[in-house]
Amino acid sequence: MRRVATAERPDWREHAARAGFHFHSFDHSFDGAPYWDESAYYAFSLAEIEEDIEEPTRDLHALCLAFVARAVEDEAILASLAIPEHAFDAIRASWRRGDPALYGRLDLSYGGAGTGPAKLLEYNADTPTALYESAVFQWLWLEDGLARGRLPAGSDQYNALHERLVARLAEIGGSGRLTFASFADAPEDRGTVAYLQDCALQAGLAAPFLPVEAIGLKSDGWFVDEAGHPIETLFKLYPWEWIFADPFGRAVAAAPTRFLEPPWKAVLSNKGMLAHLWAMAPGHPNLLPAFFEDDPAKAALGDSFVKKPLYAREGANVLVVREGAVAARVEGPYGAEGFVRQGLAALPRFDGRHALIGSWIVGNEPAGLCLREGDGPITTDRARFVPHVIDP
Amino acid sequence: MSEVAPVSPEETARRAKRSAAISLVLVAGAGAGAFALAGLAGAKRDEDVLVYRTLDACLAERVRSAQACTEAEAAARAAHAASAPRYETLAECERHHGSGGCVPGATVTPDAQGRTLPLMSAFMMGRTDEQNLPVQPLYAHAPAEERSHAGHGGGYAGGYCTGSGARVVPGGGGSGARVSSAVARSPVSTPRTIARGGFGGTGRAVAAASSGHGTGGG
Repeated sequence: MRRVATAERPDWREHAARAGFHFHSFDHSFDGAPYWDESAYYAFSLAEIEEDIEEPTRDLHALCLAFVARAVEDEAILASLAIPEHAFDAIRASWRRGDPALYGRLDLSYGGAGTGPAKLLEYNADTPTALYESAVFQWLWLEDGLARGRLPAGSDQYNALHERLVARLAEIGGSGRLTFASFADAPEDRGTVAYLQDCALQAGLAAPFLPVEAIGLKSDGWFVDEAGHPIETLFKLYPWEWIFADPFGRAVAAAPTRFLEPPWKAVLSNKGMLAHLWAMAPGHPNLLPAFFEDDPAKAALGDSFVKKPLYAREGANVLVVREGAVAARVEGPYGAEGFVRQGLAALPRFDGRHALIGSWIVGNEPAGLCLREGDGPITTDRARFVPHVIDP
Repeated sequence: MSEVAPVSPEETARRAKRSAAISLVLVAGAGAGAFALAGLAGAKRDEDVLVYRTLDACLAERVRSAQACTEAEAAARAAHAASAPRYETLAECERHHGSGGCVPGATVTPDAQGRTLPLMSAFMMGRTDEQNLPVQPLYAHAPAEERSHAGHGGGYAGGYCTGSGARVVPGGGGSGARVSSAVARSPVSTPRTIARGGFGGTGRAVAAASSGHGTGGG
């Protein structure tokens, strides 16, 4: 695994526009700096991809499913994850019915062959973004780089996301109609959903969109669209912990409407899960020791650790402590539900940047990776998306 | 993984590790307009509204004229009687609106006889006349038993919801709030058989408290 500095294509923004990639730069209220960053790329060997990322991802995901099976039968576990009691039934029922999942992203700390196994930092199991740029724009970048001779002939990429998403949607498409919801005015969210609508259409499904606030609840228990028609299956880029805190959250358990991601993903998309995984599989090579903040056993981590809120996004409210001193901290609105403490697996640094690997799951199979680069040890929403290749 | 006759070693690797082809029917090129992805950043998403617990609070703040306050409070009361959500039982009502937050329907309006209604906790109006927003009655949200779980956005427990179930969260203890245009412009006219706006409030509250460029994502 290495970082290759390279000149960005002078016309990459035009490529982005043609590909429908409209959220490639940060908001101008910050600085308009690019979020998509092709001034470098990462190169992996095939063995690094298959042995150090793909296999551990498959294994970690299987472990996570085993944990869900355990959690839904144990209210103490659900409560420890700060899931409200009124949501237990919806979560249990969705698991027992075998409601299928579409996708997720494991975030891993991994620095290449010889630097030790990849370590799971967290599982974005419910509402992962960066999907479109991983599946499509990164792929187009590779194709263009090969076509123009900017990349070594025979370079490949660990990225079967698009094919897998279309195939998975065809497989779980059910009635032939999948309704998509997110905030309509958040460009990144809307972009992710638009891309998934596109995949659903290619899978032969009808794929209408409605803003999350426009979802209705009918007195017969169905969630309905703007026309009042029942929504059979709803893909929502809106996290379960928010749904359960919203007024309609209490109606989920009794509703015939099915969801993507299903309610049981709430068990995985919070960082309390990390402490349970460690308790289930202590010493697992791809896990970091992790404990709830109110568990005296956390002392085992000593004076170097990362403190993370159970629920947070984009690195908010994360605290890194190294040898008893605060090494990094990101402020934010989260943390009221509690914290976990996780062993420190500092992100590897290449040319002074911190690299975080996102390892994608579609259905139950690993499907590709994305890489984000940040200036600090905590990956925030200011991290840049950097493409990757597999060496010929 | 089924093996196809390899064309070349390169071709075999490609089949294994990345999508063989990508086609976009909607997102790319001419189809992008179908999603209006461009220019979303400038889309009008919110309305500035004022939330008052009492007529006196509206009068005292002097953002709106005394006449506007008086008319808004009266309109909200009338709308409350006509359109407050009707619950089958007191328990069901209190689950949504908190202990002590509900009354027998007959005390509000004869046609709610036998049902339970939430108390009107506040009223919501536009910050200016030009917004042309309907006045809406508001009800207490964040029921008591949920308070221990509240804080998914840092202490917005104790916010309000509209008659259709949409969350309204005044900022910083003042009267000002921002609500999505859809919520601000669509008061319930009749007691609901289809409620709307019951998803999204938590996310808006969290987004308002942070500065991310996405909201639901991670």
